[in-house]
Amino acid sequence: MKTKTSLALLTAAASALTQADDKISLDYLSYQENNNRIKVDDYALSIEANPNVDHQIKINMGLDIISGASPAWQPKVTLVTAPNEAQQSSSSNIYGYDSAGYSVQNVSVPVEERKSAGISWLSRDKERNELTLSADYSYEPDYVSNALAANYLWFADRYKNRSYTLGASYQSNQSKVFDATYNTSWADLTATNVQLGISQVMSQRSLIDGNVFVIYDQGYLSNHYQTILRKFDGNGDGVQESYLSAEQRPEEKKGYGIASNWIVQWYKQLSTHASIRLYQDDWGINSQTFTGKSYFNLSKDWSFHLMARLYQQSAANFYKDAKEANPEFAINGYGSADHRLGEFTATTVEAGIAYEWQDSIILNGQIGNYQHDTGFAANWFSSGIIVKY
Amino acid sequence: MIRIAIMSSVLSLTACGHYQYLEQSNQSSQENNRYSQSNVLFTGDKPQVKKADQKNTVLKTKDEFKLTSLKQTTPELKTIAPIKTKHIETNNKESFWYQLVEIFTPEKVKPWQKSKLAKATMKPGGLTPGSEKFNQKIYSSKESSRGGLGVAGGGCGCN
Repeated sequence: MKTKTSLALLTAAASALTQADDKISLDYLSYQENNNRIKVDDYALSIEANPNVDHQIKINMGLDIISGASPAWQPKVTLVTAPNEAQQSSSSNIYGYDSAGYSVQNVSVPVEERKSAGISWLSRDKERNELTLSADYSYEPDYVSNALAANYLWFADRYKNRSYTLGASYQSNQSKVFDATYNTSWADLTATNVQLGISQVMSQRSLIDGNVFVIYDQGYLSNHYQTILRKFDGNGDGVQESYLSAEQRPEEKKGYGIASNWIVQWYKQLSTHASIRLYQDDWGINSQTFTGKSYFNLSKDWSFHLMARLYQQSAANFYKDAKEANPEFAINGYGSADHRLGEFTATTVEAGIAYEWQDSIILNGQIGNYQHDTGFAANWFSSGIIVKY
Repeated sequence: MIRIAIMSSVLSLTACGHYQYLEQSNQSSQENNRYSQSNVLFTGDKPQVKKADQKNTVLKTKDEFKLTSLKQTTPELKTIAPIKTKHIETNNKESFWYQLVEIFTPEKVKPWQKSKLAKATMKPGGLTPGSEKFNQKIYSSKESSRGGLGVAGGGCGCN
């Protein structure tokens, strides 16, 4: 009996202090939208080092190459300068007037590179509670982001079956802005995120986590490539003309939501992830996300996964679809025709396969399809390698 | 004392399902019925008596003695009662609600019992967290809500 107890204690001690593997991973994504819209090639390198059982350092680097075109309102023929009355009456930039009218066209975007880097440091105290600090930076020709985040995880019981997390992040970003004559300048925006979570081990093969989160964005939250139509009687003839204008979103957004994830290993060969997220913000957007993912272990080395995701979103209260009978906005006030602020249902399916060689190298490949019920669709292929050392 | 308790519990079980055999008054039957519901715990094949009610159990031994006599004349009673109890339990375990409650009732899992939970497929990011990050990037660039996936990470001009 005594031997058995000692053995159990030794096993417990060993399992609690097992040092994680150091690893390097390299991932590649090829993403293509339908109708020859945006195309992205994305490379991500991640290095994870565990110098001892109390510390972990992660370094991430990424390179995105973005090309293609994005839809926006454009003049059918050519723009003439809008009268001063229209410029002065509007709360956003008026680009001009086309007597021939306007249509939604795919506007080519120059090939753009986004470079990103991030570092995070995790430390554990004697009770194995974890403090993670991270910093991220990214640069693209029209957007710069600096982010800091802190997350604290503490265990609620001695078997470490329940844990709580409290995290906060702050982003200080800059976005390029066009003026009425397409001259550019930089505008600031910030994003704050606070999250409180709980994780509970339900059994030897099941766990549930959940969290509540709050976000607060402030500053220039518009998209400088997006345009809208505004109606105004610029020449005083009693008839309102349509002017091409920059979109204008509120300079503040408050959002909150809850999310939960349930992970179960039903059999040795089958594990599932089921998650739900509910979100709401003061722009009028409510969304519900349901995701299910299944891992099938085909053999000791090979595994296969299937993922399905359903996302539903309501429209922002300042959104007008370009296909509406009256898509124009008033000369003043918020307005956007960006379909990402509209009402839609999105479905995602993904299939992937992974091969693990001698517990030290994992090769993986995925294909996925993403569709909005409004007609937008995208496909992707991703692959990666993880090397443990 | 224990013997009396066991005997009374067996009697209560038999009385519960077989009142028609009792040559007792209505009052006595009702009393036995109440007794069988309140003093016996159905915890498997072997019924037990609540400790707090052992005093009442002793007081009722006179009635139970009559039941004992009856039991001797109807030996099948002893076997019928436990089978009935087991049948009820089996039905409960097979029910959807029982299994649902069982699934969502946390167990005390010891650290050395967490080998399955430590597998990569049981982590929120899954076996290939890199591809999961790509997916989240796609969603955040095409949808207008975010949050709930942790606080770390930088911004993107993609939306």
